Amino acid sequence: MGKNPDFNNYKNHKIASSLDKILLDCRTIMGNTVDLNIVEINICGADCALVTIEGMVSTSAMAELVFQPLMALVKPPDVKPKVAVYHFLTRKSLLTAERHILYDYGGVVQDLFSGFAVIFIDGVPKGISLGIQGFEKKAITEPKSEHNIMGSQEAFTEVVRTNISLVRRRLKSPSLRFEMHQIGEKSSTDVCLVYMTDKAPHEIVDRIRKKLCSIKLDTIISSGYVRSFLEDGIDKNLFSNVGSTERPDVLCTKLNEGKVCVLIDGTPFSLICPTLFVENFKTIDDYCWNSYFATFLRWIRFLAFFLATAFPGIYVAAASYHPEILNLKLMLNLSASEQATPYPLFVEVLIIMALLELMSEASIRLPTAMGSAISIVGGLIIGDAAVKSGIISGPELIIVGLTATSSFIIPSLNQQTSILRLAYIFAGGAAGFFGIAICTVLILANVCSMNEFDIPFTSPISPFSKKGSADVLGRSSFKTMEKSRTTIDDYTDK
Amino acid sequence: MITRTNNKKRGVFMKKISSYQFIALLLCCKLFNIMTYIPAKTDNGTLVLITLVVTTIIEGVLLIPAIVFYNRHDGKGLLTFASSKSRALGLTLSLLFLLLCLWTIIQTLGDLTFFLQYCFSDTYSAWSVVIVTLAATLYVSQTGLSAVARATSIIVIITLLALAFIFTGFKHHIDFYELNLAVRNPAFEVLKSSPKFIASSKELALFVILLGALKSKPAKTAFLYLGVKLFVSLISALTSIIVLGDFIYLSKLPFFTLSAYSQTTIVEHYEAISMMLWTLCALVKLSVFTISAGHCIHHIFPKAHSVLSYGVILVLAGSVTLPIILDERWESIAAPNTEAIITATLITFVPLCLLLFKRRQNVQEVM
Repeated sequence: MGKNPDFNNYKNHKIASSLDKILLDCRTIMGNTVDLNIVEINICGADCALVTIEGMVSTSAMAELVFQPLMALVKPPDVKPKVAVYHFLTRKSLLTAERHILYDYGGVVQDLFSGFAVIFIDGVPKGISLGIQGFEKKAITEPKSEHNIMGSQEAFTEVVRTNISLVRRRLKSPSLRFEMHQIGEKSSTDVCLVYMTDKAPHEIVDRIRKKLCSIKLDTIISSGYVRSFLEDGIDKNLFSNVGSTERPDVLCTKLNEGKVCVLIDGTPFSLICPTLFVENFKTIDDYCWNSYFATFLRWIRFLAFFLATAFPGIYVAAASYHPEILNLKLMLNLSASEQATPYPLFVEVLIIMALLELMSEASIRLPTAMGSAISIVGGLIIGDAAVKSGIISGPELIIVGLTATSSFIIPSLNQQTSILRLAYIFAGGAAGFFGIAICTVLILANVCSMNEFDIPFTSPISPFSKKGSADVLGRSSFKTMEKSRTTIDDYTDK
Repeated sequence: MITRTNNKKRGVFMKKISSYQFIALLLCCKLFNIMTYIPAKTDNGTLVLITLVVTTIIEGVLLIPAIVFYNRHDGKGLLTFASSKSRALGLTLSLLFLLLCLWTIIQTLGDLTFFLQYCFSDTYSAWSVVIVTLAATLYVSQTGLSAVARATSIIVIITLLALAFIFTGFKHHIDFYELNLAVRNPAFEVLKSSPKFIASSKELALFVILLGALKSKPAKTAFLYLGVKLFVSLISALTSIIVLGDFIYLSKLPFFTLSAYSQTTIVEHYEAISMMLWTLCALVKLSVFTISAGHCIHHIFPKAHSVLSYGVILVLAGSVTLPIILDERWESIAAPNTEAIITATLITFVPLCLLLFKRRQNVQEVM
């Protein structure tokens, strides 16, 4: 530690004793950044400095909880001023709920950038940090990607501490644990591991903790940065074993099923490990409606997944190679409509699917108001014009409409349906039903080979679990769920 | 928490699979045979049904030594046991089972290609079918036995549902008078036809090769599989007989013809769907036998990389199949009696001999 601290080597550098040296070190480490605020004051004869980062602390809280009590402090006659201030701050006051005593500049920087105010006293080689965070943050709003009708209307925010409170409010159990980790060499992002000790298998918790701690990225900006480190076979698997949600109520149900979740500061999307394939077909509303209606809707979602992925490919295969399977009238209609178009059916479907993906991407990236304009341009103008000009046939618009609508039903599988749809169209267009069969087996093999955390992704369907599948093929009644209390451990491939 | 056989570092990594998954694997292999069954000109409908029952009973008896072997050795694999007792014995048995697996892969690949060309000659060329099927099989095999078993459970359900639709779509064509037994010596005819059915039951060899990958209950697995197989075979045969009648002998593939007859409100003809089912089942069968062949290779060359050994097996199978198919000699290579003897020997006498070997060794140790 002979060298002076700078932004390369500050982490383990001990805090100096002299206040001037401390302030010089802080300025050197942070490069005299413009948002570094240093207030030098004399309290009861001791030279002190209050260091904060602009915009990260609440000025009113600082005035009320720090300045006022310190200014009112009366030094006992037989005590040195620096000792009196230090004792007051560390032992004799309850200024804030969070208070850390810091010994090195690593802790100082970490706390300053997390919204703490750090007080240094001349002659004391320590810093006292007080939690008076008050940065601007987004309010709790409705979930944007997981709409529901009857469940909670609260979504996670971008502040991990707020998200912790949203979960804690719903699960008032001492077995619910939050473990905070700082990940990202440069960003030191707060990443919180959440689990229930009496539900989550210890092996899974340990593995996820180990994986989180092994992340050596410079920055963690969104959940996607962490997700790729939690899955082993992310590059070769079509689907993901790690799910995400922006709903605290969904997260609580997953925690109660023994899953391990990860909250990341700066993003409203939390990660859930492990996630099963069938969970993409469940919504929180299923548990608010009658079980028969929820079961019906669940099967509608299964059908939607089939339509969104395989239907265009099957249509191409049937119409191009095996028209004998179609109803005679339907076959004649298709044949008549296809005669007017210049390209083979396979090419036409590819064109229209590419168009669909373009519209979809455009409507996501553009502001909401313009997004609806894109829908009108795409749906009415281009679609209608394409049919009228004879580039594509009429029935294809029905197919693409059905496919697009179906893919919107399961937004969590949107990436996969887009790719699989194209794969099926290629397979059906190249080799008819033989291609469809090959494609199906390849996809099934890929999906069934996913076994992260020793829990098959296709559980509880294959391997079949009677207990687990009751709430998959239909929606179990709450009386059944009360008895069964299925956790993720029940799906382990023992 | 997880039971595994063999060592991952040594190339073969086989997770144990459940009894139901094992049944699904065997059934999927059998379904391919059921769907591609070619009747002999001398077959009598009722006699075929009786032969199916008799053959199933014989197969049940043939599997008993393997079941006893599993129970006596706490689920240890047959080849693993043989290799641990004598390197030469392990090598010989591995080589024999490897040849059987290779022959089954060649037969399955050839059958799929031949039938696809026979039924959809305008659409598919032998080259493309063989290459695409082998590439797909290689991918599926390298995912491992447990992944294939899970995928097969889903494929079996899809296939059985589709078969149910096909078998229920022709109520207007049924003629029960076709179920006559106009044969001179039924007992002799049954015994004469049995080898053909046993020869087509090479999936039973899987039961012996992959015995070590079964979690538990070998007897339940074997007999439940035989029961389900008998049920599906009987339904398939019965439907073919009562719907097609004597036309069965004119059509090369009764199941395919049956699919053409079948009709529902949505689907006009089921030929393309039945071809899709063949492909699904064929891919599963090819993958399981490739994995089994890889398992045998592992016992011969313990350091062989599993994917590499799968690749070698499939290239070898493709290079044997393709010239025969292209030369239009596929139908002339079948030898059911020889195949039945080889299959029965491997699935029964090998476990039996190993049991006796163990017993003799125990007696010598006591003396």
